[in-house]
Amino acid sequence: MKQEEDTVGISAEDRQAMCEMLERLLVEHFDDTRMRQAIESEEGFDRGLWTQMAELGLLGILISEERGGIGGGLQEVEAFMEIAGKALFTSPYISSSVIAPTLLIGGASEEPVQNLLGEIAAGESIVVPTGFEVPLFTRNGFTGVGSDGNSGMLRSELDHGNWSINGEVEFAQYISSADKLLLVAEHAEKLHVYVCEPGAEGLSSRLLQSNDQTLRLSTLQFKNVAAQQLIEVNLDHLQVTLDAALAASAGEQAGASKEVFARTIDYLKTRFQFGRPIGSFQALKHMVADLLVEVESMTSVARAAAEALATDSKQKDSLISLAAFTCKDGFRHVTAEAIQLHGGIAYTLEHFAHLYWRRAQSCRWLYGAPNDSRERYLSDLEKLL
Amino acid sequence: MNDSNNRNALREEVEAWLDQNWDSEKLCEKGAGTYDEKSWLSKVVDAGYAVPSWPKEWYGRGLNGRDGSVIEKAFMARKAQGWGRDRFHLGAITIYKLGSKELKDELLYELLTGPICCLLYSEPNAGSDLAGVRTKAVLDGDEYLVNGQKVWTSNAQEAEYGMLLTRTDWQAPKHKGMTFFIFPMKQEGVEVLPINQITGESEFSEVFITDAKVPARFIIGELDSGWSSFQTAIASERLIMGQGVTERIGRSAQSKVPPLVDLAKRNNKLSDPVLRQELAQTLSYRHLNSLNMNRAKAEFVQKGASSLMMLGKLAMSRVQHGEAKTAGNIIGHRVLLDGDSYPDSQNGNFDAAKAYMNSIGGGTDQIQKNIISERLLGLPKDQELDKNIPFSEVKSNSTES
Repeated sequence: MKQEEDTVGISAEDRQAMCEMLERLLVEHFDDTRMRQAIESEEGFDRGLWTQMAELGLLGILISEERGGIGGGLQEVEAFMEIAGKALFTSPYISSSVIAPTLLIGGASEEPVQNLLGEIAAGESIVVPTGFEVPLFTRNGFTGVGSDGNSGMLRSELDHGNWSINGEVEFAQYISSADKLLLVAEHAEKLHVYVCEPGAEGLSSRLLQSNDQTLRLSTLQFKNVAAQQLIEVNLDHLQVTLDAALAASAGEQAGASKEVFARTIDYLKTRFQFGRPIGSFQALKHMVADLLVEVESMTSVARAAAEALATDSKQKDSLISLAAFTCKDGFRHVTAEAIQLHGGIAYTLEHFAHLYWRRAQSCRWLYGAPNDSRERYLSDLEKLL
Repeated sequence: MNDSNNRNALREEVEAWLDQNWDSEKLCEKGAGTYDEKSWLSKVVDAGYAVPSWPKEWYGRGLNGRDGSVIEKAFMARKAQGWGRDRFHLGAITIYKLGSKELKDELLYELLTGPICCLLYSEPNAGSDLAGVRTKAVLDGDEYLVNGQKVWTSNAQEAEYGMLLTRTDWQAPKHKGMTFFIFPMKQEGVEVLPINQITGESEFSEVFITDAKVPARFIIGELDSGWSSFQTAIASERLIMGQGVTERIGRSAQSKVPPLVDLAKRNNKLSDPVLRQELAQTLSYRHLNSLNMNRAKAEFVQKGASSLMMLGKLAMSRVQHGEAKTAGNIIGHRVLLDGDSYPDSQNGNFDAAKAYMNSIGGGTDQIQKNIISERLLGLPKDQELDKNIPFSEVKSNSTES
């Protein structure tokens, strides 16, 4: 339709080639059996495929070519996530390859940041940002992770030229796989990004039991943990970072919903009861026609939001908040109805549907609550008054 | 280059012609004083501006759509009638596409220079199940005698012709025994009664047909093959609806602020957190539909087709019923009132009723869901109890056969 590809990211052809490459990789190597092995493994994701993705440059979509990435933008990230979501390939991708590079944009000319970005793109380091959304939720009065009073903002202190971190993070993803942690902490009413080792002295983490097997959630406590200060950030930049995560997540949810929907339609064509395929019953046809409107809306809005963010469009706030609550609610609804449409077979652990359904429950709360996105969407419209 | 030169030449020609023939202040033919439809339309048809995409032989100029739009723009700028009859005059389009040379010779010019045709499709017992029509046409010499009742007909009062779906063979299965006619409306035996809609409007009529006559040569397509002729006609109609001409240009077009946000502000409801959630959710449906339609257009340009188009009607029902319900929640107990003194309530109550136009008109949403699940998703058809048996044996509400 438009040729924004020329101004940001990579060309449409390159994006297409990237998607085909990823799709082939996952189709060839990531069937349901391997997906289950991955989420049941200690780390919770497929290290082998992660390494292959690094070799293909896919871990550095947002990282410049000089640092070993492919210099793409959020439209490529969204396209990547649709395919990953479809296969339920969950991984530290959003943390390490979306949030971390976006958070560090302001420091792209500084050596420690450049090194980190290089390590991410090469697959040498999984860099996990934590606590970066807390200041935002606090500012906006939102109900998201971290604002329940137990875990406020991390604080940093300077002692003889060395920074140390104190505080708690209620939820952090993939801590046991992290090679570096990025922290956003406050000092003297300013926010900075810090980097520390996961094994640093004074840092204790505890793995939490999660409802969704694809998640690896830990709670973190920092007691005078030594950290290196990287760059200063403001709240607006944290919003940009969170929006990048939401766009990636919207893509994942759109892709996953499409897949669950397609597999459900196949089942309705092949499952016979009362001497005919159950898909010939109107009650089920009407359910799936309504779901199709939702599935297609999710795809449309996830792509539109990624494009708006990538091109810095005036509509970006409106579209990313719309994408967030539409995809969060839509993924949950599509997977819930998929179980219902399958009937008894999907009430078993062996069946795939509940895995997506649990992932949908996770996605609803990661990077902010859907009600908060609805609130932000309306607030943005009110500005027109 | 050449194309755009041609278009410029055409634009100059049309504008000069209009300046010479159309009085854009009195909105009538130059020197006429009042608007005479037949006389003006004849002039437009003779000049080749009414149906530019058709060949010269049939009053056109053999232009493509882009070139034709030059004519449309010039006419619209001067508020002149008669353009785009190759896109909007369903009767003329259908005769042009399906009629024999003789039928075109006899009727096409008359149709193009007259009011648009009405559509005599639905019946009290053939709504969602349109192929169940029971209006009977019986051959009597060189004409057919027609008896039956049609319903949900627009422009029935003005129309000189209607496109009429009838049953001619009662022993054939449902879809096989129908015949499609171009039917003269101005005759004894055709009675038009307006329908009073739940909005208070009367856009549609019932048409009672008693021993009315239609020449046998007015059959569109073949005898007993009316269903396939009808499919051609309805495809043109859907194309028109897809061009957005049926969409109301309402209050929403005037401002960037969604009317519901404005309504909530005027009613001091923007501080209610529960209502804010509902409001955001309701507004999202229109936004999402427009994003889907953008994607559909892009796919259309790229691949020549988009299955997303089929979802628009269903999505619009969610939009319109949802907006009406939320408007009611914003207005609160004052929706109990109505009339010009209470414009918010009046609009809210009107929109709540009008939303059914989308979810029932042109086939109910439930029929649309069947179509989506069968044609788009490939789910098997439901059992049809009336398939492959003579139509005379099909069960129905009506007692006549």
